[in-house]
Amino acid sequence: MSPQSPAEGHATIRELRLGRKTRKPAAKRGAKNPLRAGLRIERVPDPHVVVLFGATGDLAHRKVVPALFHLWVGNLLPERFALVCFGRRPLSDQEIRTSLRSSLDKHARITPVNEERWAAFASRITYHQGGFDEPAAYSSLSAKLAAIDSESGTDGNRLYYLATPASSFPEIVRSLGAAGLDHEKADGGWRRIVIEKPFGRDLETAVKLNREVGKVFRESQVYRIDHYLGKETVRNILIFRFGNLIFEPIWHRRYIDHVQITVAESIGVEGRGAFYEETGALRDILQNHLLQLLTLVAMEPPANLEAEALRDEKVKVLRAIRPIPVESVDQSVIRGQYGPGWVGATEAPGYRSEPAVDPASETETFVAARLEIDDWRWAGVPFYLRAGKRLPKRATEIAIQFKDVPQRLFPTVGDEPEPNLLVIRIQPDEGILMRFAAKVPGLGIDVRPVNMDFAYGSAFTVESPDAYETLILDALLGDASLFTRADEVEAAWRIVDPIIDAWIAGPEPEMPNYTSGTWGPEAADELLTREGRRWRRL
Amino acid sequence: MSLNSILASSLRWSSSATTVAEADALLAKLWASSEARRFLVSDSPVDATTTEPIAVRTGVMNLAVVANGAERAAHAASILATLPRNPSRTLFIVPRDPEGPATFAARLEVFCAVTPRGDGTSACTELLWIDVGGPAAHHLASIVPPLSLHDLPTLLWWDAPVNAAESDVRQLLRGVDRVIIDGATQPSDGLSTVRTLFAAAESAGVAVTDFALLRQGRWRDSIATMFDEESAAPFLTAINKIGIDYSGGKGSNASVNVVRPAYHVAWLASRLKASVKTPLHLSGGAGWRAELQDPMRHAVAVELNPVESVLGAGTTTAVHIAADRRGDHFDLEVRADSTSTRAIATINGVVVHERIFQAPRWTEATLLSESLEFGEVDPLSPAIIRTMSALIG
Repeated sequence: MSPQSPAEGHATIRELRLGRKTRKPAAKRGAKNPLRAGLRIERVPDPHVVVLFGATGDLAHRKVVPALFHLWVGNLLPERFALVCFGRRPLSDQEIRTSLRSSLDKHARITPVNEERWAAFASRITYHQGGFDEPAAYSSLSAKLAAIDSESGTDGNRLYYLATPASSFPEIVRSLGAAGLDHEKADGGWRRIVIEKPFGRDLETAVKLNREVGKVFRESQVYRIDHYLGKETVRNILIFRFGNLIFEPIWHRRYIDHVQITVAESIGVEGRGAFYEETGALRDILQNHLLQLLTLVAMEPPANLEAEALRDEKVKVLRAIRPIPVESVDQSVIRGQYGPGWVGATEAPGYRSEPAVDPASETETFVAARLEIDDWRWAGVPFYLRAGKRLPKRATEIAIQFKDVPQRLFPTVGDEPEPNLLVIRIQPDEGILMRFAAKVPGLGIDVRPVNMDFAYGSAFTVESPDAYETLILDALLGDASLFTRADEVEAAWRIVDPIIDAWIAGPEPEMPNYTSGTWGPEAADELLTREGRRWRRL
Repeated sequence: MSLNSILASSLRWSSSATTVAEADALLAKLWASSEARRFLVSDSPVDATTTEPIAVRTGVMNLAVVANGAERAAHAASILATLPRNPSRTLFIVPRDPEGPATFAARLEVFCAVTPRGDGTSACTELLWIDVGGPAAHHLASIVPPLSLHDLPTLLWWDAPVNAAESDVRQLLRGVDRVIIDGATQPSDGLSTVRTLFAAAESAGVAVTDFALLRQGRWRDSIATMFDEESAAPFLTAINKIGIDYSGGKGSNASVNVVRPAYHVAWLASRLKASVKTPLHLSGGAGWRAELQDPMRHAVAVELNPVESVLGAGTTTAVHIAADRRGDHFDLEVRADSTSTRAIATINGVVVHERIFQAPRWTEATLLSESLEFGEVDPLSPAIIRTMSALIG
């Protein structure tokens, strides 16, 4: 029989006509439903159970459960919903409910908490005690989930949310697999897993973790969360670039001089010294948040908004970033660590004096990098990234600095010309600012830069959801567009790995090298000033 | 920023005017220079002496509210106060005593609250309370456009029975971007009133938002979700009957407003690209009947059936959709209570899907918030309203 024979699986015209076989893989459920068009609420997820690992931890209390509760209050969760909190501590159902309720007072976006809605939500919460590596805990979890399916009609759909330290990811994934909790076909329900960052400590560990996860879950079941991608202003970058005609033609090396991306925090490590000692600004911010923002700024238009099309374009950008050779890392990457100082009229200790921090720590609390993208659009346009703690203010933004006009006809007020600037403010005061030249009123023709300022807060009548609400809802709906794919994570580590290697191999750094409440080490300024540029004053 | 927080604001200003030109000039003067904005008075004397206020007007929209009396205007203001954010300028217009002398009296208020951007900027919203009497009450079109902020969309919330046959209403529609009405509160069966308004709006090129249509969002979400199911989806192109049960109230069939049940049919027909073969008509004591034709020219029977219910007259109590395909019979029934909707799909009498959706009945605040949020773009209403016009005939 020939390989093309219909008997080997190719559908005949008749089979296609009669619907006995399909020509293409099944489309996303509901994708072609004409009744969906124009509806404000896209879709309520299927009935399901969320199994929250690390339910007694900070992330669960601060972000995950408040996000689930807000989705519930917004009627974006189905009636047949259950939350199973998995943790090591011995707690009763009532105790975990009380603990989560108390956290909502501190972390809920909408306060006061609606007690009636909370009561309905809380009735769906149960606690499951067990160690992440205890097979018996997973067997009993399996039985519990089956009972919930049977009693609450959750149809075997499960979202496993790993709000645990990264070191627990492999054992949880392995244990879920060993207990058969990953199988989608056993009872027809879907199984998805959400994994928090950090996804690996370097390329090698990321590849290993991807392999571990891949042994149990298919890539389509895995949702690697970077909460920056759920922020309203970050999602708006795509709309801004590809939903408007006027910006894309100038989004090009011909018109753009350079790009600055800043993630500045005024806070220190806030009691998370032990975590930060192992992480540092490079792994905590640059490898994920900063590179993700860079990909959204630099990517080519995707063919469509399907998750794979979007992520393909982002991966292309990461692969086009010119690798920094280990021997020249100090020319392109600056690290810093804060010493004591004053931030917001409050005296702040140096990093090495923070609890659980090594007094001789070399961990960086600041990183600035100059990257270049080797493709036709961006060749020769530097991307300057910086992130740091204990900087003068909290601000995250992307600044697109345009080139100066080819010939200056008009005298400017001040010494230096101010070419056009476009700033996408991610937080706080989310919005977009465009700076252009205008004539100063008067009889002369003096020119001064002025701002055209769009602020979300004054232009729209709705509040933005929290990033976690957006991302959790997407995961429940099976939309992976805003989640990081395995190859994306690995491509990002490929950029960061030589930096880590250089720092390990290099001499002992001089730290601390910036005062709390300043904009980082002087060397970070030199990264730009030696090229005739400077960081934006935020 | 909600009006509630703005009312407890850091800066405020008020004045009054007896002509439109005076009101416009007073507000324009306030924003003309930073010197003039010093008239914005701080609630906190310390702030006033230590910092010069940076006040900017929000750039959201104009909203003109035509209210049936001062009480309704105050009610509209109280709803606005609950919204997360507010229009840049709101005109509360109360037409009164149309037979008396021409009068115009406006109370102007500006409230500002500090934005979170950290540079001390205050975002300001303006409220204009306008009493208009005598012949001027029939010329609202001479009031709204000159008092609307330039280059911002203007929404008109007609919070009263609307007679779009009046020339003033038709002219007023030409000066706004969107008109918001509540078809469910219009007199009699409501159908002829909304049809006249739709025609006037179409002629003026203005979009319509009807609270009666928005209210049914929870029904639409539930019905659409049921057709996401793989087993139900094929029946979407084989629907042959749409039945809507509504509370019949105590009056005759003709006196019950049936705008809401009719919208269900208009929505389904517009989405399924069905045309109206026979418009809605009363069928004795058995409610309303119509006939649609789907794109394959198959007939779809439409029934609006009054039922006994404790709900207000004209309120939908159930939606039934039936379809036949390749010898299989599909039925979908959706019902709702105050907090949820419940949908049951059967094939040949066997339940194949049953879902309960958390979907509370919308409040006036939610309806207004949604209407304002549409701004200039409403992805839902235009097609439904076109079909509704055809359905009314």
